[in-house]
Amino acid sequence: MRDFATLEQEFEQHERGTARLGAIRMAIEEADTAQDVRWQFRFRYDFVRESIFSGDRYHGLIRFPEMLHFYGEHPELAESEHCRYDMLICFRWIVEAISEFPQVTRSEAESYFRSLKEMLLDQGKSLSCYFMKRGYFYMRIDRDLAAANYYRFLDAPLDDSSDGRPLCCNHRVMYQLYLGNEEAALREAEPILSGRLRAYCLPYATHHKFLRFYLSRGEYDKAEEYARRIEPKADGDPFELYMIGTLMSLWSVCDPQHGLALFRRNRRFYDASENPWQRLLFATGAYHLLRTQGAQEEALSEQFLETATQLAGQFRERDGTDDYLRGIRFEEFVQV
Amino acid sequence: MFSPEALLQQIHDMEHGPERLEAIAAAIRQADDESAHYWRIHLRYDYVQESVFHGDNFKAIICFPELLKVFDEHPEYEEDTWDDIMLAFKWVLDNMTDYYQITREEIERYYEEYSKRCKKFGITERVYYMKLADFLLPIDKERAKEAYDAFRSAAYDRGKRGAGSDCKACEANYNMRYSLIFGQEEEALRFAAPILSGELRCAEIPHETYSYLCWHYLYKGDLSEALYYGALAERLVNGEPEHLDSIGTLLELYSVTDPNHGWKLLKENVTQYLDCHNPYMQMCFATGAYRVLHALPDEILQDITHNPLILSLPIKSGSGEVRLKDIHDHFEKTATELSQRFDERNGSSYYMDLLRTQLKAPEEESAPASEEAPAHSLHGLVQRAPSILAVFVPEQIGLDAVCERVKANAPDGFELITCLYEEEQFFVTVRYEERLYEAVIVSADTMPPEIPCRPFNGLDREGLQAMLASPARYAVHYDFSGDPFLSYHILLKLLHTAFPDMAGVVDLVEQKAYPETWVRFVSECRDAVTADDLFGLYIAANEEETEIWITTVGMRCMGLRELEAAGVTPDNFNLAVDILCAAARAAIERGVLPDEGEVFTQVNYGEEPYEVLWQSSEKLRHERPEALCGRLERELPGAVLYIRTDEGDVLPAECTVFEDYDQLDCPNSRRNFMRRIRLAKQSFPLFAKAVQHPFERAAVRMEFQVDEELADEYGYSIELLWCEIDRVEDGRIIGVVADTSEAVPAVKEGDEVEIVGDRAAGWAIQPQGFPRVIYEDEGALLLEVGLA
Repeated sequence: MRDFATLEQEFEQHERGTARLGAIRMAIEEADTAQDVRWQFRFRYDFVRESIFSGDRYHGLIRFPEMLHFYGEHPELAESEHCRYDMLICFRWIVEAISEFPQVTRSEAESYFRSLKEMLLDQGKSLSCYFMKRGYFYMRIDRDLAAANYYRFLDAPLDDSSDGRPLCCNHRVMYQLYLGNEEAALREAEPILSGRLRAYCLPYATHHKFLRFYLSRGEYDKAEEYARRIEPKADGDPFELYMIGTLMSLWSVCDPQHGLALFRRNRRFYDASENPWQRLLFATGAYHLLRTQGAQEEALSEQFLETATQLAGQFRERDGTDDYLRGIRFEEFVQV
Repeated sequence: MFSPEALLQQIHDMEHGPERLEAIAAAIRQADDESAHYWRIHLRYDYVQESVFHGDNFKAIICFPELLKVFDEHPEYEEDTWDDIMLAFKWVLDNMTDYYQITREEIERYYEEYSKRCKKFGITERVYYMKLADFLLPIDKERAKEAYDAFRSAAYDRGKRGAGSDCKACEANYNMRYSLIFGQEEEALRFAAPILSGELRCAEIPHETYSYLCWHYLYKGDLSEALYYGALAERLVNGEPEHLDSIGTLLELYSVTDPNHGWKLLKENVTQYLDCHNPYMQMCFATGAYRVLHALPDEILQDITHNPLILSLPIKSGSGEVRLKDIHDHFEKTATELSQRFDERNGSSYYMDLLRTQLKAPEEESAPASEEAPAHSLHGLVQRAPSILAVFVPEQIGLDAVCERVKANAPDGFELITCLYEEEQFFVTVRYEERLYEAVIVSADTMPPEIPCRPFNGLDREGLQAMLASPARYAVHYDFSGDPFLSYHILLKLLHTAFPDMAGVVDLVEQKAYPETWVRFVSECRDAVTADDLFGLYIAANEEETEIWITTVGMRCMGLRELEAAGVTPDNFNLAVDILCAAARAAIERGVLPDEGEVFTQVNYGEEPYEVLWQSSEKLRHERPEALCGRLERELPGAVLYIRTDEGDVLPAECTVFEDYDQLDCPNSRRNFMRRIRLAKQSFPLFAKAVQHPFERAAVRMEFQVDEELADEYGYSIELLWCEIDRVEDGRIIGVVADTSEAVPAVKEGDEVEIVGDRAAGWAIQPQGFPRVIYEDEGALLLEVGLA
């Protein structure tokens, strides 16, 4: 019998990302063959986690329904506190990711949220992460639902099912920026900007929010301040394409040559990405940038415009709003 | 203009409770006026939730029919809100039986409606049966059993388990409760096991589990178990309005075990009782209060109280005073009336039968040195004992004058509830951060001059002799309440206010003597109390002095079993003291001593951790009498420490495993660590002032920010490094980094840094001419009074 613990140690030696995902996929097949339920579940969890933190989330999203089904089919997993918790955490990652995939319809998303809520209630956990992720999902869709969930999130206690304090803080910043409350957002962001609160994606995700906020208001000096902070992190990172996209939108105004170099270094990641939201923001930024180059890059510019328009259309269909479509037209994105 | 975002922000900024409830009600009115139907539903749900979880659920009962009506009128929001509605429905079902005003027929109609909606939304009826059993229990135990069986046998289909289901913790608690009701105690404890181990918990669990187990054992007559669960419950429910029924259970418990403590708990929660609109909770509290007062001797019931909290009860009182007998009668009448009303509604005599039940009084104290080993495992928590201190004052002062002084100089944040001189006793009760602290002070001139105690915290033997020779002395009787650190700080603050010219105090339980300077220091600085201040050590030996017995004294004042080190010899004495003190600190700082046989702390020997556990001295006497110091009789049940090693369990006598004493490390807890950091920052100005003068040696432990990437790698973002003070220039303190850390490569040993108070995490100084280095806790005290 194969020692799955050793197998797990082996794939943890692989480089993070595609290589490791491939190795975990093989481990899943081996565990399936051996019908070892605990390891079947655990490798699926490993797979989703790898895709979320070191991938574009696509493969995790594809794998998740099968994992959920597997969990439901094996009630012994729910008897283990460890497995229950792992399932819950996977759920939390996935409901955050679904806003990036217009393929997931609103009713499918709602069904996911309902299941997450049931799971949290079942385990006596706080609904904090449910309200947080649901509020986030609805920010572009329904302002009432976004507000309703946001304030319930604020009231819900934090526990081991919740996102950590740094991510909760980032969420509060995001909401204040969503409302256009710059002062409140800066106040909320202080623990992150001062370095007191940090997480794997922070402070960069917060910086990115401010960058987009100031860019959308035409306050380029302020936007550039945040751009300089995130660019070293985002440049060359295949899973931060959305940041590259926003950076390119900014450089299209402030420093197109710098933006072009950034574009060239990161385009290959765009070509490989299967995350529609990341691709949309990159394509939008690339279009903003390339159109400043006139005839020289016209064809490429049009190509990105087409892709961005197509992707934004998919989001409009799911979300019922055309924020992304308007974002493609730079003059509408930036409301000076 | 209706702005839900602004309203929600405004509501969110409020504390939970009546004010927030009113704000939500105002928001509901605005949403109604604007016909904002989504918000009409959303806000009503918030209102129900607030009332259920942060109040007495009275307003939830009133509001719920409206919520259901608006929900039914607007099917367009059904998809978004039905699960909220079913949750609210469940809470209301859970609580509507608390109102005798709601008829049995009305309640039954609600159950039918709930069942109908469960089917509509595809929800399992487990919850329906679960709540139905609760409703039926005081009406017809057989029918309740049928409902409970239906709940147990309902298919547990994970797919259908959903909105409205109780969480696993609540269900485990429910199963435990019904197993007890139907006489299956073993099964009940099996259900409760994951709750008691901490694996399952939620907003209401384990609070309700502890309370119910307390109630069960109390009515069963097993007071030892009832006291244990009562002690656990009290920490969670005291002062919480939504747990007033559990407080009633605790009052019932204390009516037979400790009416004085019951009386204090009654006073602490009387405000919650008066604010409560829930008749069931009122009945539970009134029953407990009645039992507490009923347990007092008749002559005490004739006494009067001036306590303003008690005076707010709806009892006819003379000018600012009320007889205890009148309070007794009030609660007896309330408990009886409410029990009758519930029974009338239910068509049974369930509540009156409970009220008439004679609770079993504690049996005569059994001989402590019983030869019989206890049959079951024992608990680390025990009933609290009072703390008794003696205050020494250079000049006699009447307690009436002391009373006036306290009235005139009550410290900031202290609400004086009682400050009364009566029959040569001074009673003082203060409310601080919603909790009551009570002390009784009497003159103690007859106290024998020889008091067994040792000097501590800046007091030397000569100082102690001088202090004990003071002509005036007072005895203070005090019960710890809540956090023992805060409790001790408050006690000493109170004493320093009452006797500012005192020479010092002796803690008669701990047998420790403290100088006035320390009392003043602690009274000013809450973080100055350490776990070591909260217990003492009692040491005795056999006549040949080959066997030593060490036990803590003072742990019982915090409701913890006293810890003992058995099998100690002169060779391992220091080791045993260190392990014992580490264990006592761990128990005090966590506020809990787990059950016998459970690991509660560890000591490190080199790289190797060893687990520390305890077994009862009663059992040890039976099983391994040679391990105990034979000559000594124990008055109280103790917890004898032992250590778990790979090769078996050992007592200190067999601690050859620790023969290299220097490698033993008894780690301090995080709480102590954070307290020291706070204290260092707070007392830094004293240090900064001291280093302006010549000193032998001084150093500050400074906080250095760890680079972001390294912080991820090391798992912490602040490194603490000692810096030796090099010089003081124009008021600036310059230090030299004394160590190099890989986590902060930018800072190296020998680098100069400016020392600033807000980055200080500890400090040490040896003033010129002073014999040793002193650290921030003792240092602050000595510098404050100029002793160093």
